[in-house]
Amino acid sequence: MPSLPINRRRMLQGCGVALGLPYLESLARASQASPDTAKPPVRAAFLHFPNGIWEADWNPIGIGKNYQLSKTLAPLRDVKDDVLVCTGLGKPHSDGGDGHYSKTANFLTGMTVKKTSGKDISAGGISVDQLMAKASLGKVLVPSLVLGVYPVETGIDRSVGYTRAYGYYVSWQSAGRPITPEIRPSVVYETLFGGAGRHNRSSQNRHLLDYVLEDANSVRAKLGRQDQHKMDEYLDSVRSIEYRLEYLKQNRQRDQIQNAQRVGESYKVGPVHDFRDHIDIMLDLVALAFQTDTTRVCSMMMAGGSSNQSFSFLDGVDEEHHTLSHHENNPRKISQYQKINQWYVERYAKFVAKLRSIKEGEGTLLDNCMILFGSGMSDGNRHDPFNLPILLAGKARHRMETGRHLAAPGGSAPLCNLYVSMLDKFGIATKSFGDSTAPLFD
Amino acid sequence: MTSSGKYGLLIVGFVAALSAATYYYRSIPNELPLYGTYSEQWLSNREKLLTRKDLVALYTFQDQSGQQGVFADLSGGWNTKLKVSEENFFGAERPFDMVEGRWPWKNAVALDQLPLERSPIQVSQAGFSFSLWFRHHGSGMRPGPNLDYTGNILALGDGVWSGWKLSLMARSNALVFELGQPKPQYPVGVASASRVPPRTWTHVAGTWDRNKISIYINGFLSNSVPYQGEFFQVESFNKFRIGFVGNGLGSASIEVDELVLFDSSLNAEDVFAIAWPNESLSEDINQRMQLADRHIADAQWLQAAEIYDSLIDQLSSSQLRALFQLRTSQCFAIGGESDAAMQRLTIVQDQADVSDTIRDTAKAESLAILEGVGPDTYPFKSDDEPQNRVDAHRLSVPVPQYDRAMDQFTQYRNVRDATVWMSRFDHDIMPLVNQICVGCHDASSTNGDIDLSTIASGEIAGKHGSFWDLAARRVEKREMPPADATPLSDADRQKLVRWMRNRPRAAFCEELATEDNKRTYHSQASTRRLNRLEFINAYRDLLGVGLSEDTLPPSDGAGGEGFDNVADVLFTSTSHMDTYLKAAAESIDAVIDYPVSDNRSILANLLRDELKTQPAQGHELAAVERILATFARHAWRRPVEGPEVAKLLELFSIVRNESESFQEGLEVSLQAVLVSPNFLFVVESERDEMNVQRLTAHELATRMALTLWASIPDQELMRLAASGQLNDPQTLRQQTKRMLEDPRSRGFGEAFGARWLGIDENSERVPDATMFPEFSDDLKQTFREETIRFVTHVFRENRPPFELIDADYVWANDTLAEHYQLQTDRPSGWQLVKVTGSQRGGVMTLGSVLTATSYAARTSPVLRGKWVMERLLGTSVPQPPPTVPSIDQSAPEVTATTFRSRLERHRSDPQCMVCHQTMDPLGFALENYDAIGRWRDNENDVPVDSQAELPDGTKLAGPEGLKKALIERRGEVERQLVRKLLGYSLGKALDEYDQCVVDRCIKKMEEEKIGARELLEEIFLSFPFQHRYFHKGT
Repeated sequence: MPSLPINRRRMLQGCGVALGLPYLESLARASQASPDTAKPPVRAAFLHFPNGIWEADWNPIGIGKNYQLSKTLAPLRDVKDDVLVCTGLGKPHSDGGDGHYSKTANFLTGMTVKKTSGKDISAGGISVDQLMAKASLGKVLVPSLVLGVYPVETGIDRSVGYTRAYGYYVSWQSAGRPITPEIRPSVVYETLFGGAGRHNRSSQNRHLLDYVLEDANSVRAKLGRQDQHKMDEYLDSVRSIEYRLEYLKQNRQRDQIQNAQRVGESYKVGPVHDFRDHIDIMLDLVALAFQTDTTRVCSMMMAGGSSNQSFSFLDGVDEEHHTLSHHENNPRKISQYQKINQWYVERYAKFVAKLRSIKEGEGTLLDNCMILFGSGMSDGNRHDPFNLPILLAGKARHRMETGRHLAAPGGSAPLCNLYVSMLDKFGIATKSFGDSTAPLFD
Repeated sequence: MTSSGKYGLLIVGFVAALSAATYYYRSIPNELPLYGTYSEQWLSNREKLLTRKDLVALYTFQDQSGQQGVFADLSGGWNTKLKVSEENFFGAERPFDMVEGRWPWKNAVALDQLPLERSPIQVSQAGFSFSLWFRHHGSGMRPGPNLDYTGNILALGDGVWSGWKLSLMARSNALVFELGQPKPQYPVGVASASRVPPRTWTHVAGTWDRNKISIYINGFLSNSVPYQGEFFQVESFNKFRIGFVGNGLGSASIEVDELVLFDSSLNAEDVFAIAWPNESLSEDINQRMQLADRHIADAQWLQAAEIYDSLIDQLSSSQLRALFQLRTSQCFAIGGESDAAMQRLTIVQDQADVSDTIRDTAKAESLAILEGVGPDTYPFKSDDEPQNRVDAHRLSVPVPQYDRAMDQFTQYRNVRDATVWMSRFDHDIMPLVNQICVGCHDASSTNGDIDLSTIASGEIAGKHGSFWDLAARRVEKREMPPADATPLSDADRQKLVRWMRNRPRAAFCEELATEDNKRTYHSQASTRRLNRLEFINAYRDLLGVGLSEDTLPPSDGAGGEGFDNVADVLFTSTSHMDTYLKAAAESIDAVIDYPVSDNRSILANLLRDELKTQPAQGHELAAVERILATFARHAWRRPVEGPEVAKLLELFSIVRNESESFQEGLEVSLQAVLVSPNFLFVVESERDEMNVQRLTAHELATRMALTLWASIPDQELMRLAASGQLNDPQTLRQQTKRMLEDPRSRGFGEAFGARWLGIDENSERVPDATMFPEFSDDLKQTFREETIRFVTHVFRENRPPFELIDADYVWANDTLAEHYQLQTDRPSGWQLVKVTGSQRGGVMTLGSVLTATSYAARTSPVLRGKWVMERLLGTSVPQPPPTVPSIDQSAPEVTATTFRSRLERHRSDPQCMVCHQTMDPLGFALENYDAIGRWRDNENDVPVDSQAELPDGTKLAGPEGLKKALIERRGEVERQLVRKLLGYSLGKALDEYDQCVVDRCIKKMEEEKIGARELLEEIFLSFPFQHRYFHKGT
């Protein structure tokens, strides 16, 4: 980097305190360590589906290894040995909150979703995927992949007094800062695999970013306290781009980047219009990102938090998802609701099978993954935040025992207990997360 | 709890409680203004209370037990401390503040977010009572999550199905004391027959003695109703709560002091003694008052008035005389004798030596009478409710006439308060100021920046607004006058501070909330990035190019009043930055690489002018400098300083040298302008240490352009900002007109119109393709376009704002003319088409609205009714209780007719009736439109029934009937429109400081019949739009 280095260093030191993520420092540390150890890394994905489930058809029969799949879980039959079915997990902090917002936004934080039409928005804490993303800094090109298929909906739900935006965020960088999911496959693809193209201009981009960072800091200095937080968001996002440029530059020769570039040349994404294709393509991209070790952590909202997606493509389903989730114990609605639940399980089973079909080292990619699938509520009719539908696939490098039904000890436990266990398998030793009381398993 | 058990515990706790009480109040100052030796009287009263056998709990809020948010029960009750509820409803960070209580040396608790709560109280079937001092904040009422109209003060359980509660009616400021009844009954209760003015301490007591429920205000019986039924105990897991309750019961911003609970029914004498412990009434007077109470119970107000009146001369203290004057006048007022009431009220409010409670109440009462908000509008005294049975649910539906009266009342109160405040300056304050302050603070001195000698009247004083807040702080802290100046006696100091602090609310029109006077702006961000639409439009105006799918920023969520321009919810993620970089690179490339001659954008023009020919060697930099400076000025909407241009130029040089390409250097430096936060963010920067500052003309121009165009200012606007002319109201009005006439004002229709009406382009809800094959993306876009054009039209042409509801035309193209079956020559493009009849015209008949309020396969009268209530009338509708089964309309056997009868049965359930009785009729009136907005006379060969009736008897027949009903409620509709417009223009949730802008706009609409464009002009000229509040930076 031929010029501006002094300014930059000074600037970076200056704002290092205020900024959450010390990207460049972690990068420097990582490049000193020896790259590509023999052990493949653990990857984690968190898939959220909306509107809960019809419990009677979801709950598996029997506990432990010899359990039987329920009707809704039937699509898991081919991957049963790789899946851990969890029951009895809940989000006590969602209890009492209204509607879907207080159940969705905290799917990965476990804490209270603040009731607000905008001011002081909060999901109570950092989300589990973002904690893992922090640990991936310096190890991969894209530390955090946050995906969705629906744009954030505008407006306020006046009935319950929450901004609708809550229904579209599960990843939270901090309690008050949600991450906007990327919904365009082409952009995701470009971020993950477009390295070669971008690299051509990277030195100019660096100058541009240097300029912009300096500019942002001078703007920040002129702002009041609360507004400075807004500028910090901006600075953080600039630095995450800068991180990627720097990462590419330093790791150009590593297999990790070379593989990603090969993928970039061979895999093409066009525009998608159909909801089903959209989910499938996004999950394909996640599989590729995991396979090439371009990212290790991903969250994805398979639809908005109170999605009213039409499922008329399923036989016998003639109303929208959210409408059906308020089934009022009416058998006709329940049967339609159950079909939609099952459809989402099918998408998951397909994704898990795909990860299992990819070889990695002695085993499969799935062996080194933790793929969580679940919803922020159980019975959608009651918006019940207990006994949540939660599936976890993959063996986290053979440190996790799958192929069984794990009922929470004593019948109920915080969902965050599972997150503590997952953080442990991911290599983050922590005693607690969110409202956890103990690890769910060792 | 059995009574013996309780008394046992009581004795155990007693000793500790008494010694605690002594400890807490040891430091009471001896000299207290107004109350003299009140403290001792009050302490002995406290001891009397503590020895009462029927005492259940006594909270003074003085102590915090070393634990934030915990208050001891001084009666020593075990495990009955009041704690801040852990239920994090509005956020637990600052659940309450301690404020100055009933006496200057004593704390009280301010609650507006979380309730204080404790374990439930078992109520004796022999009766019970409570007593408390409380103060509320009128328009500062915090709307509850569901119903806006009641604010909880005390509640045992929910007070609806069991237990009891005391609540404040937000509109009337009356108090309601109710006993819950099991479903499906309603609570029984009593409403106070007089209002409780905001911002003054009021004593309230409630009793039930197995025979009647009574409510006492300031020691006097205010009203009572018979009730001999049972008391329904709450479950043990329930709570006793003070403040916000939730569960649809609303909330109020209140302060509470001295709460006492008894498990017997207090008599009137007891209540009076607790309220006024330093005043005593003779036996004879007490007997006469009992007689008055009996009259009140029989609603014989004039008889009661005469009794109180006859007692005045026998009273010993001026305080008591004023109290009885007030009470006399209240009874006269309710009894219809306004003149007699006014005569006494005038005496009371000018009396200096009485407590604020008495004086403020008198002031509120007299203004209410002046304005005709007299007895007949007390909500609970109408003829058809002789029992005064409170039906809080019914009252939760706003009564338009009453609202209007209250609005007028508020306005008059403001004017009246201001007059009193100003005249006090003339008589009491100005002599003091002249004597003490002017010696230093005059024209010749440099002490502060104010020349006090120029403040020669109360009227001029009023214009100095928040200066008096600053002055009050300094005088109170004894910083002023300084030690070497003319000394100020304590009494005069107090007089000065008190006057300064009492600045009337009318002045709010000229101020914003600040750190000192309000918590409104705590943790509220104001600097925000451009939202998606503004970003797209700004690119269009700067570069003349559209953006490709991959360079469009993600969509934005909404906050504030429901618009997506609110800083709190405009987050910046990595994916935004990816997009910004890419958009800048692609678009700048497009302008430079593929110059199109018809591109008249700012950048294209600039490049053409500066780079007609390759700049000569050595002149290259100068040309680039001009390009960058001009481009940055437009993109950043402000003058650009030398060092800023130098930085851009430096970037140009670095890239140019490294890439050895002039074009590369130019491109990257132009990109930098667009990726800079100066472009992406609406930066309004702080200029000195004051909290509230006037915006610069450029910042004002930006706000106007964002509001009217959802884009950045153009050259003309920038020119007027640079010359300062934009600060001239006349210029601002001309510009508003010009900008609305510009095609870019489509942005207003999109950002305001579509959002206000809830037309979300991202909605997942689409009509079912098999049932409505006619529906297509094209039709959806056409609907959206119609919405935008219609709303924009009303503002552009300065039409009466109500035309948004009631128009005799539609905007249509040929697709729409066919869809709507308009009787017209086929229009070829978009045009205004006159319509007759009531089938079309107005926002309720828009295809976009009718589709958005339908399910995929059917219409929904409920959703449509809810839409009318929420969007047009500004009433929020709570979520249905989870236990109520809905109607399965999709079941094959359900036809339109059966659906309606089922819905009517559904409404007969009292739980549902509250909302549905208003919501459904509004929606049924729109049944002639199908789920994609087409007119239909029949559904499945059965004629559509669009007849309905509102609870107040208004008949609604089809869209015409609905329009008539809305015309009846014109005031509510217009208020809602103004609120939404202001909320959109300011990009935030409205607070009490914005309220007077709303009031002023409404007044102008009523009196001057201003049009929609002029309404926007009023907003642009308003204080909150032209000023900004700055948090202190770090």
